[in-house]
Amino acid sequence: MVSQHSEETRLLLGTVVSIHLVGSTTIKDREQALERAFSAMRFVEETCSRFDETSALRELCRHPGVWMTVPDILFESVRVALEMSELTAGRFDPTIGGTLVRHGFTRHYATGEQVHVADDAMDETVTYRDLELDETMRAIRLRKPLLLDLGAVAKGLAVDLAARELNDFSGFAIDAGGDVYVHGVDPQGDLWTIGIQHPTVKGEQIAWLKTTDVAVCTSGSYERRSPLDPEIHHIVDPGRGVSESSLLSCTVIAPLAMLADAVSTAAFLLGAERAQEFVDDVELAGLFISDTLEITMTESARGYMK
Amino acid sequence: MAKIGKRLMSVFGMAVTAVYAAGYIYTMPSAQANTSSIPGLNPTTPTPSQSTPGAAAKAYNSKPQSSTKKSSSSHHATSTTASKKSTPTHHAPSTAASTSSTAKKGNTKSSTSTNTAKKPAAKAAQYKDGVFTGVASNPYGGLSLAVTIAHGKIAAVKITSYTMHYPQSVIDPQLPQEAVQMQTWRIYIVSGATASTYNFAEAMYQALNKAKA
Repeated sequence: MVSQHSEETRLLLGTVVSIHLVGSTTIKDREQALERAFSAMRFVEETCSRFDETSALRELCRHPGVWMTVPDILFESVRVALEMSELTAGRFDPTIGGTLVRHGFTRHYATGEQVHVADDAMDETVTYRDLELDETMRAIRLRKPLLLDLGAVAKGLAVDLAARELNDFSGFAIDAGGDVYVHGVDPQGDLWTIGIQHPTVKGEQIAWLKTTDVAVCTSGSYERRSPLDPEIHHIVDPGRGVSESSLLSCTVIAPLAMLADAVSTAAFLLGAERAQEFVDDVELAGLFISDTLEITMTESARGYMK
Repeated sequence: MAKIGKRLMSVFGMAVTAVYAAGYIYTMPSAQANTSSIPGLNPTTPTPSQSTPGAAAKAYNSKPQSSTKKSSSSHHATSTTASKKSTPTHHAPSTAASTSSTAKKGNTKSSTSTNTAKKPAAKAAQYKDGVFTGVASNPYGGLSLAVTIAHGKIAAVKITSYTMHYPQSVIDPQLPQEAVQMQTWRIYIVSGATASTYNFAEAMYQALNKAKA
């Protein structure tokens, strides 16, 4: 039996988010569930956006040197970002916001508004070690003025929360521009088919996965370029202030979108030589596209290929 | 290197569970008066309005209010005064209305105070009768529990093993009791024992999923 399904697309999290929801329920049930899922995502965005002056993240960054209690969403996002920083010896670094601003990634995607940040937030020497967490008080202290960028974890977290809101349905797919989460069955009752964007040919897929109950995230250099320097895209190496370019894209498959996104971003930053080893080390599956369009993948990724 | 994968998975999994279990509350970060507190011992007294200007909180209410509305607000009321030994202030649920009113006063303790928007508990009477188990662990240890469902409702919750760093008394019997009272796995964060609390929530969630009719 072909299940009924609903689809909705909204502009969120700096990208286009669409959700397909499958289940033999009433349309109203599906619509309410979609509303909950989108609300959960918007909530993460409102808390963790570096572009929104009223976000909790920006409020935190306005008070360097002071212990600030923060919402759980922000605390947990920073916590997992720091975990990734430790693991990659600082290649992955949530204090990269100032550097991104210097490269001109300063406009809010929805309003086009320019983001203003204090000049001292532009300190180039800040690293993840300038962040302190207090587990008990759920508080964060910035040792130096800095601008956080949680792009690589908050979007994943938003998708994971949305996924939990939809768990009771027989199937769903959340597609949030590079972060995909699939569960259960597709509208035909099959596994979900996920295309991996061709890094140089817009609108074409370079590979297909057929799977379910996983998150699939792709980090690529093709999506966002610096308005100031065409050589620079939105994934910037904190150590060198430049964008890694030995990979065109890197796709990671994981049980959580936040994990897939963080690991794919980190692997991308590590570059062609070390990406695969890194993804193997953290026991996830990955697919890598080199600057010569050569595709390599971890042994574990083969089972997911269509 | 297998350890890295497991650790990473548990750290990330815990983060998602933490946020989901706590519900969505939008509170502005606020400066802390006192940063040295001993986990599990020192119930953090809410600091009087010390928040930065413009610090605002708005409740986010993702689910329609259900029949649990009453019990959540009453819990909300009790938890503000609760300061049992080793049970610091609960991350209590409240209705949207009471949340915004507490929050607007500029309460500075977003993590320990009561200004938490809580998604109301799931519908009652949706489980199969029987005993269902759940297990959860994170870098701070693990726990397992058994949930007894009788007449479609959560009748009892028993923590069957516990290997967390904190003493079991930090969450037991409070959390099992609350789970029965509120008929949900969405429990409130016990400050100073967050890791235990998340594990409890995750294990409950697991057990209740098994019990789904």
